[in-house]
Amino acid sequence: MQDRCTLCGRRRKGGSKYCLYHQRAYENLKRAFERWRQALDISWVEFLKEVAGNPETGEWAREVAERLTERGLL
Amino acid sequence: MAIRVSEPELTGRTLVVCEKPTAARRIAQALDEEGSPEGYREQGVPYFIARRRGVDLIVVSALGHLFTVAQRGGGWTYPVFDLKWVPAYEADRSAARTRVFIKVIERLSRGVEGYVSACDYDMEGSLIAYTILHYICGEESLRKARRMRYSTLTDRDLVRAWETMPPSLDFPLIEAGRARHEVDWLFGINLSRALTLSVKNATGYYKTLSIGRVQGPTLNFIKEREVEIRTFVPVPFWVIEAETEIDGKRYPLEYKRRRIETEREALEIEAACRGREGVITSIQSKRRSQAPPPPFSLGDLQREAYRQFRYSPRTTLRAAESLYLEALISYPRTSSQRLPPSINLVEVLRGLRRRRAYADLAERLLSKPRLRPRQGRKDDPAHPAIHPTGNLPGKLSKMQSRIYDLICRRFMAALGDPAVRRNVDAEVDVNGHLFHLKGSQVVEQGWRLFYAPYIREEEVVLPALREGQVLPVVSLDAARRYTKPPPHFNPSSLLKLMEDEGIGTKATRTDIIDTLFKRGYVEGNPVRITDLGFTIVETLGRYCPDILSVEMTRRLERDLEEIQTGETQADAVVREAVEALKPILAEFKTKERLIGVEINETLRAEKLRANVLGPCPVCKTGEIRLIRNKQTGKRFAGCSNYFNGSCDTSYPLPQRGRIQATGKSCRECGAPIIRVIRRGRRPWELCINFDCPLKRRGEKRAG
Repeated sequence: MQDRCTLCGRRRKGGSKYCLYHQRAYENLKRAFERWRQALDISWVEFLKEVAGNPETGEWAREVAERLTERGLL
Repeated sequence: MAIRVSEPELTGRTLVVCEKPTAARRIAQALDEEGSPEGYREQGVPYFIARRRGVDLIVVSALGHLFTVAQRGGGWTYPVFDLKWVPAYEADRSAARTRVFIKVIERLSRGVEGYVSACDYDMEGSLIAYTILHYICGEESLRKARRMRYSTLTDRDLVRAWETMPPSLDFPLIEAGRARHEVDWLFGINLSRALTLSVKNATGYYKTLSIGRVQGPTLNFIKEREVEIRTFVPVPFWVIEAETEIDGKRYPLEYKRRRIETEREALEIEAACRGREGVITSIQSKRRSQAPPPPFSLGDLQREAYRQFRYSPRTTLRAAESLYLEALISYPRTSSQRLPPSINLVEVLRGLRRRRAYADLAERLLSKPRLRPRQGRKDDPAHPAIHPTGNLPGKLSKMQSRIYDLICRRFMAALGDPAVRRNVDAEVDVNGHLFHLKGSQVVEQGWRLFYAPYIREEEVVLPALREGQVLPVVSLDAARRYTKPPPHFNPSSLLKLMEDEGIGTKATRTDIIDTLFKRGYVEGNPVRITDLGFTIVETLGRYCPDILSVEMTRRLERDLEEIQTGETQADAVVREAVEALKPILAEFKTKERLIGVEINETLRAEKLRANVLGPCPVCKTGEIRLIRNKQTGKRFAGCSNYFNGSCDTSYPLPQRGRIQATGKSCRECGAPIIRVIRRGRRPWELCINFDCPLKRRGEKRAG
């Protein structure tokens, strides 16, 4: 199952470890972090925790944030 | 070419073809000189004989479409481009009743000398009458036939339509209707078969799957929205929330910027302004005129009914159609937001005046020296905007009453004067930071008077203010907020999106949304895409993106419209559809196996999920699943841990009807509660534990 997304089992996108949708969520996280950093002077770790606990965060974005936090891929 | 309008010169028996039995009765009544046509019923099919100027008019009714498109030749495969028109009962088992209608019309048409199409004046109505005349009464009838054109089923309108009938059928509209049916059939049959066969050929599993020319792009919009929501990451921002107090009453102070991007800046503003006083530096007062709203098109009515009553587009359309058939409102399937001069507004208002609820309002409008309706931008060549006829309603259901009231009030509002609001904006300086103290008040009601029950705007009435006045800041906070994802579609916003994107027509959009629900591609309100819907769109998007292309659908819609205006030929548009389909289907065929395998994965997962009824109340670790005994075929519920030998909990299940999990457990015994759905019965919920103490005590509600 090496060609599958580690989060949902869909096919992976290119060289990414995620499928198209989780990859998009990951990119949204990276983009949003820049704005969070400017707004709050927050670290990547704190940002991921905040986002994972925020009710407005989308399901796939939360999954990526949680996975990154769990695995310490910070 | 100009249409010659003349009094009909009908000499012998004339067959008048209507769309529905209720319309047939109204039309017969209106056309009969005595107002009391003879009513008959043959094999359950009603028809009427009306007499007018010495001519017998046989007024018959269809049952919607009596003929439909079907495949020429056999074989359940694709591509299929060879089609023919057949009686509806031959193509669709649920249309069995059309057989007697065809038989009765065939008998009644013998010896007839004249023919009139009196179906609803739109593409579908024109096509219904055309196919009846063509396939039952013969080619010759088409040359003799005339077309009644009306927008309401009032006697006055119907008689006028009769007296001003053009001497021939409206062939451009008929051709447009024929082409639309054929194009939709070609797309629907080919794409649906391709999808269904992809799964069957790849896995041997059969499940009917469908996708259509408009369904595909619509589902794609829903999927794209879902992806946007699920990948959404909120971003913080701050708002300055402040209040002042004047004469013991609190008023909000709005900071000059709605959003502050950084916490640091927000806290600086808070620190600078909290506990300070503000000074009014300027006051601006403006009168703003608010034009009346235009009268309703169908889409407008459906959206407003959803906003006001949460009625689905289908519910609103059904209620509006029933009001139309009672001759209380004009034809509802219209895109128009305009009331043309041919409508006698005074007569309609006089009619409304007879109803107590509208007496004063109608009187106000009748006392105006001139009635000029607000006209919207959208127009429809066939029908005006939806408006009341002025006929007095009898007993209406709650739903009909609400829709009727909405239409009457909107009609009167469109005839009202502009409303005028006075907006006050006082600029308040708080330690160098600018705030606004805003008020808004209606000073002239104008059209709002007529539409008052449906207006939800709050007024903020400010006391007298003066420049230099000092205001205390009684509360001030820098509050953190987060950006929000876009909302899920609801039936109303989905309809609006389809309108804006130019896909589907006013007559078909509601059905397309319904089909997405029926196929299990979307569910709930707000509308959410299911895993199956998601997989269908995702797979098609990967392998055959043209099926989901809005551009192709839009182009076809434009071509279909051009048939009505004579700019394009129907056959050319059908050929164009075939040419568009050929490469799509060829590509599909080459990837059929891949598509089938991918869709099947979701289907299997869905099936497994559908079989899980809830957690096991005994072992607490297993799931209670629906299981079918392979020998007897009977179904029961059992714990998933049975297979590892750790739990043997099982329950009997009803053997008839569809069973759905509810996600609820019995409050008494903890067993899952299921929903049983049987045709013709209201779905009911029950605890699956036969020995549940609640059942023994005879209590109905287990959840």
